[in-house]
Amino acid sequence: MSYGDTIPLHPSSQSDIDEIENLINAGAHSATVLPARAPSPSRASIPVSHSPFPLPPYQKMPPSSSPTPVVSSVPAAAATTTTAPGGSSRIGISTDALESPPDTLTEPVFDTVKRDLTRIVSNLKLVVFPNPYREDPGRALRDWDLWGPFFFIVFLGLTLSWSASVKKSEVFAVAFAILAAGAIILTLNVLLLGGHIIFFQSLSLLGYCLFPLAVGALVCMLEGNVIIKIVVVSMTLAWSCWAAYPFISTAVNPRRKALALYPVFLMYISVGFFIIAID
Amino acid sequence: MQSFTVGAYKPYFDVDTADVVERIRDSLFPFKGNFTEKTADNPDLYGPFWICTTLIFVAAAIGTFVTYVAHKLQKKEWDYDINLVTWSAGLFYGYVTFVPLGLYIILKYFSVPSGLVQLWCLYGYSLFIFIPASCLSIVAVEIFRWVIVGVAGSMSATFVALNLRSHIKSAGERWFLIVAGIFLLQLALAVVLKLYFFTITVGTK
Repeated sequence: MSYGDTIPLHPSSQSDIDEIENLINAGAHSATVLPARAPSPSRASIPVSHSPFPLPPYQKMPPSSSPTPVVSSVPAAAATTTTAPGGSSRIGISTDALESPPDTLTEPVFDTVKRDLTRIVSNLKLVVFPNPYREDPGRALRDWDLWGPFFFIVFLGLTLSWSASVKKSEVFAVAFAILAAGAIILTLNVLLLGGHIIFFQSLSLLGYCLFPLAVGALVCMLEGNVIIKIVVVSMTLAWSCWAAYPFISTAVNPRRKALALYPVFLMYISVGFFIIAID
Repeated sequence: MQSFTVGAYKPYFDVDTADVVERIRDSLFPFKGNFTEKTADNPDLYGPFWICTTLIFVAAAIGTFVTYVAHKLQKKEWDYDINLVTWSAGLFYGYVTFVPLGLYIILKYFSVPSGLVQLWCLYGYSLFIFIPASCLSIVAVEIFRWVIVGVAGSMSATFVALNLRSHIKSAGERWFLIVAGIFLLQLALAVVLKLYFFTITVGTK
């Protein structure tokens, strides 16, 4: 989308746009490969946490589903609006290309999708296959996103719905509602107990920890034997709980750790039971 | 606007694990009667909410399992009934929310006001006994189930009634009616629990 095509330009704006295109072309020569993750320091919403309780509790961050952060346009725009106050909003929108990889608006759709998918996979690896000896479990998922959790919740709902023999739409509705509301309630629970956690980062984490259960649900849908289902669901349930444990336990006061962890386990156990019970 | 922030409700979650465990243990011994004194200055909403949620899950899970076993033993068709979960959620959350609210209004009318959060705390913890009762109801003997439910219901009702007794006594000559009403409501909840979840009618599904 190029503003120059549709809106007649103010005479002073044309020079600004030329200036910016020069800057873009200068930057394009140095960076030709899109990085797998959008550069995280430019996102004002994620703090770097190196201590157990780094944050004031009530940071509510807007979810950003696109990898090109519009927030970063603010510091960039502040630097370049000295030249043209009139066209500052247009400068703001086009200078985010300076902070993030160039041509995100004109790149092929496959590249955008691939970047999102790569981010989902890397977040998944961090959350669900964690290295138990890493130095600071709270540091993972600095680039949280909500696409991954959304995919997993919908996939789990669909799988349960396919497995059900009657009332398929009700099953999907209940599963989706329980998972979505459950994630929100669990996060609120941690916040109310005086824990330090970012709201949407926690939603993202709880969503990613659903991945083993989603795999378990898929296996149960294909497999009919009840004993095998119970074994598979127990294993994936234990995996999900194990994945969620470090994030939740580092977020609250150690005297209240069990109070914060119990609801998480309860939700995953109830989902596991739901998977087994859906015939 | 203030009531929509997280900070407004933080004081009601200011409990440690040890506190919650101790309160749960107190709810199992209804004849001590000192629950309200112990929790007067620090009533919590964590216990009621999560005990309720656990009870919903346990009742739905065990109820489903019991119907499954009953159907399989008689070689009949069995489908998972999703309504079990939704109705049990409505029942328990509704009970714990509205009965203390009603009691609060009644007590205010009789000018012996009790804090609303204290009432919610009391009712929430009183439901804990139904969790082991539901687990024990797996046993397929009908008489056993009724006995279990009766015992749990009366323990729970005694817990609520005794803890409010000292408070209600100052309400004048009507106190007995109030206590009897509380007792009966709690027993009614226990009976509904038994009938909806643990009474099997094979072949009508």
